[in-house]
Amino acid sequence: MSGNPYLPKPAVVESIYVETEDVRTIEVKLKDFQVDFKPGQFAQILVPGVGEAPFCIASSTRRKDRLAFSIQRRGNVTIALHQVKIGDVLGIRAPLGNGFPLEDLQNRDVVIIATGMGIAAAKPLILYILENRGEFGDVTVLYGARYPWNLIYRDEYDKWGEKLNLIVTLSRPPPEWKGASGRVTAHFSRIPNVRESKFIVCGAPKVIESIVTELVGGYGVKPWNIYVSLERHMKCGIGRCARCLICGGKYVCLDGPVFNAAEIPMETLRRDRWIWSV
Amino acid sequence: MGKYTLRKKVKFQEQAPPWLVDMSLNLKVDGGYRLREGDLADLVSRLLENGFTVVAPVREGEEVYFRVVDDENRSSITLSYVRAINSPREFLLPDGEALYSYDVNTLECRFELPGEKMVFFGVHLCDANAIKYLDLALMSGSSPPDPMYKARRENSAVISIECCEWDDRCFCASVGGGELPEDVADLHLKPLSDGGYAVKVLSEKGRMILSMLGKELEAYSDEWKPFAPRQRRYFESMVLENLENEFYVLMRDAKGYVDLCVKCGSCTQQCPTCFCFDIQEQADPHNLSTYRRVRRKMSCQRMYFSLVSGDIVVLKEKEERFKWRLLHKFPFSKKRFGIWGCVGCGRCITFCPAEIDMVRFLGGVVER
Repeated sequence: MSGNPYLPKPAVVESIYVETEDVRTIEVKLKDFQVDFKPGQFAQILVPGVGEAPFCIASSTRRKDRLAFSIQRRGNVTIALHQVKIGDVLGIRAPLGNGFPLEDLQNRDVVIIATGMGIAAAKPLILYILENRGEFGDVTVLYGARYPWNLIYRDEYDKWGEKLNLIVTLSRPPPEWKGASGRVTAHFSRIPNVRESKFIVCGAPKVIESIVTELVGGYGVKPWNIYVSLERHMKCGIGRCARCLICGGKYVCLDGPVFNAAEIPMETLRRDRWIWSV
Repeated sequence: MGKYTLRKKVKFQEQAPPWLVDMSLNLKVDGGYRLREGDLADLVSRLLENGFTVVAPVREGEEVYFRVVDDENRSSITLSYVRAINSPREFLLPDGEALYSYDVNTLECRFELPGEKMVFFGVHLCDANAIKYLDLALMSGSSPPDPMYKARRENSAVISIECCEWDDRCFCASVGGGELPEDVADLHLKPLSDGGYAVKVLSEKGRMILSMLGKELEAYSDEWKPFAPRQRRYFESMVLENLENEFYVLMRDAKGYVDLCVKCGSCTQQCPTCFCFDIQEQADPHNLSTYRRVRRKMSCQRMYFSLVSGDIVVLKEKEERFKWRLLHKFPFSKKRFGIWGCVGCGRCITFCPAEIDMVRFLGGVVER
């Protein structure tokens, strides 16, 4: 079916994992095609009869015939995705977007800062680092959530913690919580070698803004060492519908979703307004 | 950005043309010819005979619309008009066109490329430049072109015409919308004082269309200079320089302009260059297991345009939406495609019920 980039390809739901109350991880087996993707790229999932929405791929880049998506129940499409059963057919368009700049991260200290569902976007990169641990220097993963029951991928933390420095912090911890508490910005002092590291920031736009401001203003990190993963509701995914246009005339679906913080003017990150902000 | 270059002139599809073309005629690409009075009406009927869909400005009461020409409205085709209500965009990116249809159970997809041969007849230069912008937005760049739009453009020809009427809302000369886009127009007409037209052949497609007249044409070698001044209002040259920077738009105070805005979306509805679209799900009422993904026109003045996950509307205020439209038209388009996204047709100013004048907002209006 060449010639029409809008056409999805079929994939069968193979497993459903209930992460939290409103987050499920769905793994699909691709029918007759493979997806060769980079960490940070995203996919458009078509739920037949409901609609299409963009989701970041949250599985290892080594598995090219199966993709996993972590989906939080939010709108039409995500509610429908929470109702799919094993064996249901979904339409997939992947890979889309640019992905994390792996060649820029290699042999450097890497800090991955993710808040909330942002960990899903960072997961393929974490898995890639675990699989190719020798290519990277010190790796710190700083994961922030609100409550313990909001944490996802809970049974993988032990595996991650063996090979890299994992900090899980809760901004509203219950009294029995033993781990770190506070926002992610409170734990930057625990990052070794802050000035020489490369930063990957995933999360909600407002959180990205405060993290980048804190890193640049409080810790003297150079903006070009920070990569942020942005989110928009892309409709076409191929840079035609202009729904994901951001400041600077860039399309999130085509030039992003990963941007260097130096590409986006610092003034735009500081403002609490969308047309200014990321 | 350097990688965005306009495609070479698109050609009609490879198959042998089903229409009658007299190749023995001595017509050359880039040649200028003189048309007698009545030759254009003749040309329209030859196009219709040969199965073309002719889209031409048609006078309906006081207003002029681009309409598909049929036997009923043929007599009201007009070439002397200031601005049509709608624009060729309505035919190149029709609202509600199916991108593909699929079976809900098996996800088997089907799609049909539009194959009708279309001729845009009597298009003003601003609208011809708008087609050039749409070509860049929907077909250029590293990603695959929009298949429906591409098929329509490959099967369509543009016959542009020099404006001889304008009003105080036109500002095409300021933004380059008054220049002849030689890579888009196939034939260019210029009214002559004797009631005839001078025609310039700009492409092979245009030569084919002109040869449908079936007679030798007298050469026209006078100058092609456009009519002056063609407009009364100009941007100050400073303003255009500043417009390449998005902060120029963001910093301006829009309060007095957007107070009256009623969020009707007229400014984007009839804009010849607005191309943002939405893709929606549509059930086929005749076959319940078939769904279609349809392209719907989407306006940045609507709430749904910027709705993202978690019911967050990112363009909340009228002021942000108003500025967002201008940002997309001016700095973003210049950065991405190298040309302004506004062609100066003046539709958004004319059709705004609150009479919001974006030229005045952007500043530096000089009346000459």
